[in-house]
Amino acid sequence: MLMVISASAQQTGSIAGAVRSATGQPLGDVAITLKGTNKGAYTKKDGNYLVDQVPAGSYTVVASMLGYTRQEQAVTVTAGKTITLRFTLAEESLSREGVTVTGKTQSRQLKESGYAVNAIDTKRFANTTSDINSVLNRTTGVKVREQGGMGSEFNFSINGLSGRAVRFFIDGIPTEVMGSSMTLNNIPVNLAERVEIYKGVLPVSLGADALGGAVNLVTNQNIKNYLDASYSFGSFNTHRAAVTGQVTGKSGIVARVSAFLNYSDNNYIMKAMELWDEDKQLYVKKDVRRFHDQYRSYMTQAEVGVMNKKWADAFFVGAGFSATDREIQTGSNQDNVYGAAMQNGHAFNTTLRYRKDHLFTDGLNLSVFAAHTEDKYTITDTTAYRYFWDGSRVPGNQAEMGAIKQRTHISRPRNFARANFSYTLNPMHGFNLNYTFDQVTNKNYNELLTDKDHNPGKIGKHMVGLGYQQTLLNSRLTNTFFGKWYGMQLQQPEMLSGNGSYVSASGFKSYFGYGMASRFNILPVLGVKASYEKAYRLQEVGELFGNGYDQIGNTKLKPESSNNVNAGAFVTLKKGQHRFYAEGSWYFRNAADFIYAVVYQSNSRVSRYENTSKVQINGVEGELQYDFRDIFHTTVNVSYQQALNNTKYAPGSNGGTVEATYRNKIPNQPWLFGNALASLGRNNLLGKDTRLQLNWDMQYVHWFYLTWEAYGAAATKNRVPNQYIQNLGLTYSLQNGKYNISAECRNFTDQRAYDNFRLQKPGRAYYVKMRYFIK
Amino acid sequence: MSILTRKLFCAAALLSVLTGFSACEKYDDDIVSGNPGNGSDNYAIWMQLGSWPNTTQYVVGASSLTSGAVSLKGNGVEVTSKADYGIIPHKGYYYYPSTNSTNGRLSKYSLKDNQLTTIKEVPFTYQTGVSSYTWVDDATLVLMGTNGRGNKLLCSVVDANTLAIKNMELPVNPVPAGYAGMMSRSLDYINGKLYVGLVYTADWPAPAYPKAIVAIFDYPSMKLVAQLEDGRSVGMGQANMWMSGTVLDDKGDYYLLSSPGWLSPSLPSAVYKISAGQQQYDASYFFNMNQALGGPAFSMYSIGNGRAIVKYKAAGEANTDEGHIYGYAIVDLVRATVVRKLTELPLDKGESLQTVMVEGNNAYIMVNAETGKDYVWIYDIANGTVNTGLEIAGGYDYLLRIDKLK
Repeated sequence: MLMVISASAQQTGSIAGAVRSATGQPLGDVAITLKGTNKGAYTKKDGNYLVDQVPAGSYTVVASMLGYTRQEQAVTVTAGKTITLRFTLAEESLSREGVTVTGKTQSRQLKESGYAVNAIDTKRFANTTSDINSVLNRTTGVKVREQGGMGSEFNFSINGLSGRAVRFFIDGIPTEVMGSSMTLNNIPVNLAERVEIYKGVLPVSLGADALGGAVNLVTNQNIKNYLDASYSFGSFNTHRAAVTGQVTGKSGIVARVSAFLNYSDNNYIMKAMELWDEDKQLYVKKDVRRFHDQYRSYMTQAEVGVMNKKWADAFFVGAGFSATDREIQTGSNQDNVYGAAMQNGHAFNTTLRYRKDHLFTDGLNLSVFAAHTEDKYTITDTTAYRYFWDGSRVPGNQAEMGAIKQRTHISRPRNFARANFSYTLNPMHGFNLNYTFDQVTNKNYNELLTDKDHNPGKIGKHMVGLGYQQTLLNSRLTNTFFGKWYGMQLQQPEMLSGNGSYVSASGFKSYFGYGMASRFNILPVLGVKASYEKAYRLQEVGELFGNGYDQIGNTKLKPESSNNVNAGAFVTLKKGQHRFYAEGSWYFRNAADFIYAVVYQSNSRVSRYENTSKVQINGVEGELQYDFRDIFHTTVNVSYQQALNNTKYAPGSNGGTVEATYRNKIPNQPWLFGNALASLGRNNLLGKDTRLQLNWDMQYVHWFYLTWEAYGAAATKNRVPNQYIQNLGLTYSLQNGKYNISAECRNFTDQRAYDNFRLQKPGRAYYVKMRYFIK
Repeated sequence: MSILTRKLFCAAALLSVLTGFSACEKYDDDIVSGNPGNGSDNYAIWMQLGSWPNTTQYVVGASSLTSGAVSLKGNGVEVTSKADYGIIPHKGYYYYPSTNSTNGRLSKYSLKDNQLTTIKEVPFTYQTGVSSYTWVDDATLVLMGTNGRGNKLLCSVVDANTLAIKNMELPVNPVPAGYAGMMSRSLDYINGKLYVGLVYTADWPAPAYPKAIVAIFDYPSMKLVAQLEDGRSVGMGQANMWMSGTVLDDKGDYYLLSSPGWLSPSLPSAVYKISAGQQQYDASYFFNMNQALGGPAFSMYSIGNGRAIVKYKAAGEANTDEGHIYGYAIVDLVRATVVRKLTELPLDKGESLQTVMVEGNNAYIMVNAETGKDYVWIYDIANGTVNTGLEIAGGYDYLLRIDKLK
C-alpha cells in the first residue's frame, strides 16, 4: 500500500524495525523518513515499520513524532536485504515549534474517542502571539465573538450554544477557581500544551453543569524540567510576556511556575465613526483612534511538591495571584462611547493537588484537588460626562454606563474541591467516579450608596458523575455510559417576592443528567462515533432569588436544559510521507428554558428571571488536514448551523396564536463559518538546526442578520457583514527551537472587522515575538 | 526537495496575497440611507417580535386603517439602532430623542415606502430619560425628563425645523424626606402654561410619596406657578412618549388620569380635573377608575365631547404584564361615568403602549389578541359601534403604537 513498485528488487533493499518509548511502550504513528528522499513510513500500533523499495546506498533515517524527541540514525542499505533499525524516543515536555504533527498524538487519540471533541496541540501556535481564544476560534463548531481588542469581552459559542452554556477548565478545574482574570482571551498559548473542546457531551471527569460544552486547557504535566519564556510586542503598544517552567531540586522537590503579563493601549483606529461637525452642523464620518481602552492583566501561579513517592504520585501545594485593569471604551455598540469607566479586579487562590495511582489495588487511581479563591473586582462609573469619538466630552445628567454613578464592588469567595476515582478492572472495563463541590458567595454593592452587600447569595453545587467505559472487539469499539447528579444548596438572607414582601430564601434542588459516547472503528483508518447527553445549566442564586432590591425572586425557575446529540466519522490516511486526516460530524441540540431577566409588571426598574425561550440547533461541520512530512501542513474546516427559535407561544402563554418567530432562524448568530490555515517550514535552510516557517491563516464568517431574518424590508435590515480575516507569520528558530523569533501581521488586508453589530475590531496590526525554550 | 519547498513558499505567498486582495471588498455598514422623504404613509404601526434577548421592533406604514392587512414578512422598517417606540409623531415626521439607546442624538425622520429616512440629526446629551413631550406650536417641541439620579427635572425646548435645542432645569418642590427621587410623567402645554405630572418615588417595593402631583410652569419663563397635590391617588398622568394619560376637552377643561401601578399597593387609579383657566384641582371631582371599571386604568385618549377611551385591567391576577388582561371602555369624563365597556374587543396585551389613535369620527384601537386574528378595531364615535379594520398578521409579541402621520 505504501509504495508503488518502481524499481527491480535486485537494486533495492528494505529497512524495518520498531519504535518504542523510553518506558518501553510501542509507539504507533511515528514518522520514519529517509533524509533527502521521498521514502518513508509510519509505525503501526505495535510500533513496527517497514520501508521497502529503498535503492541501495547510505541514508540517514529519522524517526519523529510530536511530543517526542526526534532521532536520527545512519544506515547503509544493501540490495535484496532488510536492515533492522530500532528507535527509542524520549518524551518531550514541550516540543519545539515547527515539528508539524505527523504522528498520532494525544490530541488525535482524543479526537478518535467517542466524544465530539476538538483537540488542539498548541505547540503549532507556540511562536505566535495568539491567546487561547484566537487559536480555538479557528476550530470547527467554535465561534468566539470579541467586542474589541486585547482583553475585550467575548462570547464563546460551541455548536451554537454560548454564554453560561459553556464552561472553562484548566486541567479539569474550573477557571473561575483561578480568579476572574483567567479568561481565554488572556491566557497566552504557551501556557497550555493542549486544548480540548467538548461539544455538547462532557466526560464525568469535568464536573460542571455545561449545557453546550466545555473547554479544557491541559498544561504540561510531565516530569522533566523545562522553561518556556516569551515576549512579544507590536501595534497599539501591545506587550505580552509569558513564562512557564519546572525545576526539580536535588531533594526531589518539584517547583512549577506559570506567569503571564498582557498590556495594550488598544488604540486602534475606528473607521468611519460619525462625529458632529459644528461648522457644517452635520455628522461627518472620520477615522478616529480609540482613546479609553487600555488593558492590563497579569497572573502568577506557582506550586511546589513531590512526585513519584510511595504515598503520592504527585502532591503539590500552590498559590496564585492575578489581576486585571481595563478601561471601558464602548457600551453594547460603538455609538455608546465611554471615556472614564473602569473595571479593576484581582484574585488570590491557594490550591492543593494529590494523585495516587494504584491506590489499595491495581488499577484504582485517585486524584484530589482543593482550592480556595478570593476574587474581587470593581466597576467604576463616576463621571457625569458624555464622551465622543474624538475624545471630547460634555457634561451630562447621568453616569456613563447607567443612570446612576457607581463604584460597585463584586466579591466572589469560592471553595472548590474535586475527587476523581478511576478504576480499570481490566483492559476492557473501566469506571470513573467524579465528585466536585463548588461553593461561591456572591457579594455586590455600590460603594456610593451603601457600605456592604446586605443580601449576599450563596450557592453550593454538588456534582457526582459516574462513568463506565467498555472497550470491546479488540479495541475497535468503545462505549462510555454515564450519569450525573447535580445538587444545589442555595441561600440568601432576603428575597423580594412579587407582591413586594421580603421572605428569607433557602432551598435545595437536584437534577439528574445522563449520556453516552461510542466509537467504532469500521476499518483501521475509518471510525464512526456518536454521543448524547441530557445536559443542564443550573440556576444561579441571583436568578432564583433575585437581588433583593430591583430583581424579585422566582423560585419556580427551571434550569436551562438540553438534549445534545453528536454523530461523526473520521478517516486517517497515510501514503508515503503524505498524511490526510478528515472528520465530519452532525449535531443536534434541543435546548429549552433559557433564563433571562424580564421586566416585571411594567415596572422598568424591577425585573425577574424567567424561562423565556427554546432553541433547536442542527449543524454539520467538517475538517480536512494534510501533512507532507514536516514541511507543509494545511487545515481547512467549515461549520454550518441552523439554529431555530423553538419558542411556540409568547412568554406567559401556553396557547393562542403561535409566535411569528417560531421556527425562524435565531438572529444575531453566525451560522456559516470556516477557517483555512497553511504552514510551510524548512529545516536547516539558514544554518544547522534552524527552521524557517511561514504561517498563513484565514477566518471566514458569512454575513448574518442582526434580527429576525423573515421580517422587515430587506433594505432596512441590519447585518453583520462578511468577514475574511487573514493573518501571516514568519518564524525563525535556532538551535532546534531553543531560540525563536517571529514576525506576524494580523488582518493584513486591513478589513473592517466585526464579530458583533457595530463593534469594530482592530485592523491591520504587526507583532514580533521572541521565545526561549529549553528542556 | 528544496525546489519544491521554494515553489510551495511562493505559491503560498501568492495565494495569500491574492485572497487578501479579492477579500478586500468594500461594504457599507450604514443602515438605511435614502433621499429625504417629502411625505409619508398616512399611518404607521409599530410592532415587536421575539422573546428576549431577540426582541426587535419594526415600524410599518399603512395607507388606510379601515381595511386590508399588514404584515412584517419582508415588509416594514427594522428600527434597531435608529429608534424605538418611545417616539414623537408630528405632521408627517418622527422626532426621536434617543431615550432608550444612548446615542446622544435628537433625530428627525420621515417614514415612507419602508424607509425611515433621517431628515436631520443633532447631538442631544442633556437628557437621556425623556418621558414626555408637548407641542407649544407646530415648530416648538418641549421634552421633559429627569436626570439619572432622579433629583432634577430637566426640560429641553426644540425648534422642530432646525433642531436647535435650549436646555434648562426646572424648579420643583424638593424630593420629600425619606424618598429617593422623582419621575416626570405627563406633559401638556395649555394656554401659556406647562402642566407636568410628577411622582416622588421610593426604592421599590416601598410605596411612592402618596400624592397625585401636577407641577404648573409658566411658559416660556419656566417659573413654577403651582405644584398641586392630592392624597387620594398617586402616579399622575402617563409618560406620553409611550401612551396618553390626559385629555383637554373642547371647553378647555383638563383631565388627568392617575395610575398608581407599582407606586402604591392600595391607592386606586382615578381621573382628576383642572377646570379651564384654573391652577388647582377641581376639589369636587374625583373619578375613581377602580370602582367604575373594576380594575385600574392605565391610559386615556380623548374622543371629543368630554369623552375618552380608557384602557384598564379587565382580567386576571397575573403577576406579569405579559398576559392578555387589558380591556377598553368609553368614559364620560364630564359626568364621571362609564359609557360602556367595549366588550366586542378581545383582551389586549401590554400596558404602556400607544394603542389608540383618533381621527375624525373614528377611534382606532389596536388590539393584540391571544387567539384569533389581530386587528385595528374601529370605534365609531358618533354611533358607538365597533368594527374590525386593518388586519395585523398574528403572532407579534407586542403591538406597540399606532400613529397618524399625515
